[in-house]
Amino acid sequence: MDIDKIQALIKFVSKQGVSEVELETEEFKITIKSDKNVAEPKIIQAQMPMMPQMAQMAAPVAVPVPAAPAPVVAPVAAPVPAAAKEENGNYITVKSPMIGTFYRSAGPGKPTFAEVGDTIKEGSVTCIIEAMKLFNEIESEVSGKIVKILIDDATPVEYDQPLFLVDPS
Amino acid sequence: MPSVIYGIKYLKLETLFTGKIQYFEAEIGSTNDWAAMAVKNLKVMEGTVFRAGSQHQGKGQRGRVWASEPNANLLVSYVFYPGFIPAHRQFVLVQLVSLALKSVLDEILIDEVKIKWPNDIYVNDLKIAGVLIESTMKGNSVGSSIFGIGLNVNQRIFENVPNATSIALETGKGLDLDRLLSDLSSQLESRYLSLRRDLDTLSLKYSEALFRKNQKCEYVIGGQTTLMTPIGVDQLGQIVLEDEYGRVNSYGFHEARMVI
Repeated sequence: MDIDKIQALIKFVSKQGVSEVELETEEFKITIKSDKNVAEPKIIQAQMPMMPQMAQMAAPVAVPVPAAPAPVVAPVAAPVPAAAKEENGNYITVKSPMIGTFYRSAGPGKPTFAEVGDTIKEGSVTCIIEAMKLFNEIESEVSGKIVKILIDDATPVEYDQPLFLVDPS
Repeated sequence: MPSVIYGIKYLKLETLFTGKIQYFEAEIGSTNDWAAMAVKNLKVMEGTVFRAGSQHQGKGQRGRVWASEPNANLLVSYVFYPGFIPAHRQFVLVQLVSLALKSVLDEILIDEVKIKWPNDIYVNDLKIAGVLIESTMKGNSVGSSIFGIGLNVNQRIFENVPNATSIALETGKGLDLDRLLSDLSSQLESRYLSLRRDLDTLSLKYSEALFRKNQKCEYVIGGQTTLMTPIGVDQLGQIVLEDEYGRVNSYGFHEARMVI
């Protein structure tokens, strides 16, 4: 896929108001997500499988980077920030920074840290994630109202798994 | 809840900062809860220790109570701020505290001190110390971390706890708690500082000290009892077990339990 096609795709995404487009070909996979706060959409993920003919390319340029300033192309190998905030419509998805077991309270019979409808601010404890008997209070990095709790109490969570939807407005 | 500032002591220790500031309460719910409350409400220096004569709600993991006779044992919670440790590597904290306790006990006891994964300290197949680490996560790294430690020292009778022992039971002699606190603080600090340089520095020693390492043991895995051989831990802190056919797998804390 060349720069023109990527740019055309970006234009399409921004015009249509689509929030996310994922395109996968034999050569690579690209995900374009629009950011409501930025006029232009951002490409947050671009992946190229290790194909023999690609490896033989003279210039080891992974993905052509468009000259336009707004779109950002990053190889997928770059670490994805955990506990990441990710736009989901107008909501922010709070994700797990680690593998473990998700707990909504400090212990059996104790009050929950956060309920749907609660307003949380930066630094508020939202849950505990336990791994190998290490207990971690997860502090919120965002402020807003909890719209949805995506995990049941005392169930396993994976790294980067969405935990809460927060309405920042 | 008791007042946060009470009985503050500045100890003469051979450390840079660990255990230098000590808060003491004769009786407290849990030293971990007390330390956590202090961290939330006050400026608590790194290495500060919260110590109790007895705990009436001493915490094991989530609701399990750690029984202790008043003033007989070392019940402490240290506060650290290991911001250099990423969330997924925090098992190094378990290695740090377990190995510090093992070092302190190795100086005192004749018999081998072992670490029952993840963080119980055993001697002669009996539990002599327990650890409960509670941290706060800021984004992707550890914010504050509280090392809760219960070390059985001078208690000689453990009612309804069949697998417990103490220094006094093992050696026949009592021991001064202040001296132990001083030793423990030194052992913690040196390892904490070495972790700052290299997160992998403790892994090998931890694996070597595993209780029943390289011995076939019964484990309950997925509701079934099977014979497994513990051979180490992985970077996440999962126990690495080898089955009878030589197949090797890692298990989380809720996935495999040793039968003892």
